[in-house]
Amino acid sequence: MSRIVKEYMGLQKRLQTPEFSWISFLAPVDDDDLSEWVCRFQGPSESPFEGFELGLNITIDLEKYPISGGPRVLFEPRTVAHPNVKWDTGEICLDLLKDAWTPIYTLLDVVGAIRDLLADPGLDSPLDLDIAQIYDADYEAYVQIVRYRLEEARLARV
Amino acid sequence: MRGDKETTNWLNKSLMKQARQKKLSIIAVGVLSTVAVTVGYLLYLYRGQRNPNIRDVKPKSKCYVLTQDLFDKIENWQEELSKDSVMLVLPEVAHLGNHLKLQLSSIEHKIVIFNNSSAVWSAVRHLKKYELVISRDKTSDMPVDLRRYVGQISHI
Amino acid sequence: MRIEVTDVSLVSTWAWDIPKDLSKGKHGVADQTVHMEKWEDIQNEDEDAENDEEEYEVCGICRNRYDATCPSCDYPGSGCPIVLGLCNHNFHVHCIKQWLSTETSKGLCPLCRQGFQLRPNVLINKMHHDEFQKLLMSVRQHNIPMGGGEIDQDVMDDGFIR
Repeated sequence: MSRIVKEYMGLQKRLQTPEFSWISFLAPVDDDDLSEWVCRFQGPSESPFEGFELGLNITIDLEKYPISGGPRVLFEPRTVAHPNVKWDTGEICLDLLKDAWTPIYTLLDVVGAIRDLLADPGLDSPLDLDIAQIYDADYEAYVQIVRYRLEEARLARV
Repeated sequence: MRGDKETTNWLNKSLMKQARQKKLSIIAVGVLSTVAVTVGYLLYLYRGQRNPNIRDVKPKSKCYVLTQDLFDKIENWQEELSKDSVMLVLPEVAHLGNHLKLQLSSIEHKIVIFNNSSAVWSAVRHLKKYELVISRDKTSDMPVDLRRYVGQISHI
Repeated sequence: MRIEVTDVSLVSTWAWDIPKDLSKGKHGVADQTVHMEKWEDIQNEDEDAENDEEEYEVCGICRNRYDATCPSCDYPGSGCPIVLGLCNHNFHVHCIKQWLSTETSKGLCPLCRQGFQLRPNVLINKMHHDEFQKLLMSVRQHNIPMGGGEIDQDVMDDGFIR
């Protein structure tokens, strides 16, 4: 049984545990095609993302996953202002998604790491220099900018 | 080996040929460009016809940098901030920002109050709104590169 | 109520023989053994359980049990063998070799990120030592900072194929 199929089968059960209550859903777009997944999850508490729901688009190269490559994960474009996220594309700068990937990680691990990143940006390699600067110089303003973007995205979904 | 006269003739013909070819290529480029521009324009019109919303009916986004004089000049902030806009409140007028946040509670998320001035400019860069509305007096404080991040600047 | 036993049947399963006693460095008696298991024990195995115990029983890469195959194989056994790492992490040979062949692996164990090596003096690893030695050598040539080894400039200059 391939790894991704195994993950898919075990997911339902794991998502129902309290450990993952912050995930609204994590599922393939189409049950017959495990290469495209969508995730919606609650922003981490004690961060500007608290109280908002965020969306991820996940693409898996079925030939490579999990050994030769990890999943490709993007935030929904133009929703997340964060030092390690590219605003226009939703691209995420996270070592786990790049050179720190190992096949022991699962989709759940990846989503969890992204959620942690939201609460704790890594300022070594920012994808959005301007947001990184605001985070550094004026944290309270950073919080308001992030929330401005999230609120506008929320209103746009309605 | 050819005689001098023949060589000169040959050279002249060759040069004329080159000149003619050059002329032809310039004309060809000219014709092609005109055609391309025309086609492009026609496509633009055609697209506009199909969806009238695309043509400049969409409201342009705005970014206000709040100062005392800008605050005084605008009558109705509810109106100003109703569409795609955001207000960046400079540290010196934080109290005005707070006042507006309370007054315009339904859109208070559009008002961002800063403690640090340089962060305000970073915010302008990140937000990339179409129009930057800023007081004439503050223009000198603005970093020069900001012009690259916005479409137009309105000095009030 | 009296019960009369009319028939008893034993069920046998197959499993890799992984030496449990690691500290004493015991040899495995054979690389494959046949266990006699009670039917109710087999019934109670919960395939989906992800408890700590299972951590030791599945290949860290494909998450299939050692006794099962890697995702590419159909039949367990010598066609889809396992190896035991020096770091106490065990994998299907197909899985760990594929991992070590990637650039990102840098020759490290995916679980503990130490340089991956086979545990010596274990029968189950015996036939794989050569192939792993070759593989890990070529990995070292690709990645200079690996386990603090020295760079053999002559080897580097030989122009191995990337």
